[in-house]
Amino acid sequence: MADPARTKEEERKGIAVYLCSCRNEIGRHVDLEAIAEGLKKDPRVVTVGVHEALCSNEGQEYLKDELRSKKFERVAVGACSPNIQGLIVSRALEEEGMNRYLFEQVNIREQCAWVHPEKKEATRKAKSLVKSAIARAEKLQPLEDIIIPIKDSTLIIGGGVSGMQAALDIAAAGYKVYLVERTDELGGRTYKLSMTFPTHNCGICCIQYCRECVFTPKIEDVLQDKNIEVMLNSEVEEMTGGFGARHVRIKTPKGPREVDVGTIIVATGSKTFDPKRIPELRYGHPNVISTTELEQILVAQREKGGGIRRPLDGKVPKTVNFIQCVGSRDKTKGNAHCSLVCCTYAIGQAREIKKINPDAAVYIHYIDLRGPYRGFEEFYNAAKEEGINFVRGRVSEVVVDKDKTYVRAADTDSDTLLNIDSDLIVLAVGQEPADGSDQIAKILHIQTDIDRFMKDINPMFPSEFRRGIYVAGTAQGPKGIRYSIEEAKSAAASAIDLMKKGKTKFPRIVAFVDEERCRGCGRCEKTCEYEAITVVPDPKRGVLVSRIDEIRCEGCGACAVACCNKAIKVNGYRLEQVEAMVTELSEEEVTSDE
Amino acid sequence: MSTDAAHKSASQGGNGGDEHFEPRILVFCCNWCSYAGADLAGVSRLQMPPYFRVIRTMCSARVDPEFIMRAFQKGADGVLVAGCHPADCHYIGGNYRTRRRMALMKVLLQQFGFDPDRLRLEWVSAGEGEKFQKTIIEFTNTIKELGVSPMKGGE
Ligand code: FES
Repeated sequence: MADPARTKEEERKGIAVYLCSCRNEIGRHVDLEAIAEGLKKDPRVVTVGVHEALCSNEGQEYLKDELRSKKFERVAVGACSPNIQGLIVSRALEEEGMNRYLFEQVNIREQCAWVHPEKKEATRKAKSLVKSAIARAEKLQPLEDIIIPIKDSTLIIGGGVSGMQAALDIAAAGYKVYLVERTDELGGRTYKLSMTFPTHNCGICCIQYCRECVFTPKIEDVLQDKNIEVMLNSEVEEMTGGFGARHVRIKTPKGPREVDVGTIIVATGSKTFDPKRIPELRYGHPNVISTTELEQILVAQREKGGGIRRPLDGKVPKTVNFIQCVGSRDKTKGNAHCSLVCCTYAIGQAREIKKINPDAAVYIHYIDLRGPYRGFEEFYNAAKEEGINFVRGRVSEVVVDKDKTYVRAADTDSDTLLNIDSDLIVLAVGQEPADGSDQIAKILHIQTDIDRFMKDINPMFPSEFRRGIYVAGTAQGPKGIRYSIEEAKSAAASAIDLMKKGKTKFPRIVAFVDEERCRGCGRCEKTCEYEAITVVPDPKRGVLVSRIDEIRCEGCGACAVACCNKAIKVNGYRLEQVEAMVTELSEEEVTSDE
Repeated sequence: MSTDAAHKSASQGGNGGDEHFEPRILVFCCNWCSYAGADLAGVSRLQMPPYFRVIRTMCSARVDPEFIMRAFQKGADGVLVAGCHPADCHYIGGNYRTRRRMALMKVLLQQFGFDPDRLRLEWVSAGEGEKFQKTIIEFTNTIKELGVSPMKGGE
């Protein structure tokens, strides 16, 4: 379509519009050809194309070809949600040399084709959306990415398995690590376990059970690593600074300590549910213990021998009942979420009891067995073969009668109610975020979810929770040890990657001040949650003006709205850019009358 | 309400509404929660009346009163602002600002002769596709009942 009168040097002008049929996912509900036809009359539009799948390889080649052969400057796309494939599409154009800030994509799939069954209506809506994209694209401005330098050190919060693993990986790559642990020892909750899934023993040497052999090497490794500075009995108090250079204040027994770090890994872990919150389970009676307490009994028996004895009178229990899902999967009695590990560890403990004391009758009362781990099924089958009784159904209560304890439970498989005289009752308690983790989330500006665990930016990808801040292990949600370690390794790898580059590019979707308009009132300074704005005197003009630190700015735009003189603008969301869309979409009826 | 029934009741208009009135509804969604919630509604194929148009901003706190006034001036019949639930804003406290601002905006709108119900604030998280659908259906019904915007000759 190149005009022969134009010379090669002539500047690029106008907007190209591309509509994606998404392999008919959009095309089926929206008449894209009709929209394209209509848009051709628009003087701002130099070319319109409909493609089957812009995000596919062919689609990207097509876009690149278009950019090479046609003289447009900006691009408006109607396709899927820009949060899904938007990057792929704009990246293709960027590779070919286009400024990616001159790209606008509107969502005609999730928010149009998929939710409006009437083709006529959907087409109308898609058309107005695409036109609003054109209106906005017209107002976009070319920008450069921000280059952010990244400091070469890491702060790790939490010295459990996840924190230790991340510390070791990062230290091995040659970076300085500050490892902050709230308690007086490393190892976290895992260190207190008697055995781990799936080997059903401590997990490493298998010669004998001893907790020392599992974690001690790791703890020793951490303590001896010259790149790792361990701070015990310490807590993070404050974080300032921006992406790449965060300044953190830590309270240590030796007084406050301040460190500057490029990346942060949060591994604050979880705690177990307090079964006192469910009174009908009679936790507190000596015959009723939690699985964590049983772990301690198992550890003690391993170290000193003497079998498994119940706390009440030191007798060997003849009937042991495990109650699953204590504090899990029931919002009214604790938490709505499934804690994921309890089925596995309860079966492990049951097998251990059976091994030490083959005559004991062992029951596990469960709702469903959930063990999303490799080897779980085999583990469960072995338990059944060893004679452990699995009873499907809820436990209504634990009844205490003189010195006897009974479990009242339903067996939904045989449709009977059971009343089992039980001399030891073990409550399989679920996981909750560790104490103080909400504090950490606040300090680091990380979102938390309804279950109060830390929330990923995109739940589909294990990734950053905030720029340069990663979360590993059970701080993100209940999970097994192996998976915590995996997350720690992946968080460490991301952090190393970032620090190795030493700098990173970041989209310049940030606020900036028009100093001519700024009156230095300071409202924006108070509005900013990231302390990115400061009001400073401008010596040249002798007035106060706001200055925005681009690196600290997260681009939310709150300051732009707070500014009473419209002196603050946000790249990509300038007044005229959003208003172009607002206008197009509000007036639609008049303009779409073609 | 089943999807079909909901859709029907919305597209047929509320009790006092005009049968053929196709309202123009603008929805501002913050990028992190509500836009994702709207996407989830789409992925779950939750059908909705087709009169709303979403504009994405990074945070609900970026929704300038000017955007809302401009929308009404240009003929929008209703404006919905959707953000993350309280305490859930990706930018920490943005949605609290939005909440205060919207309360004021309603008063302002009234002074301009608009029914304050033409502006609505709703919290929709990334997991609440159904809530997004419900909100859109309800709001469309409200606007249908209120009728054409005073800017376009309604009352
Ligand atoms: S990011 Fe959703 S309201 Fe602020």
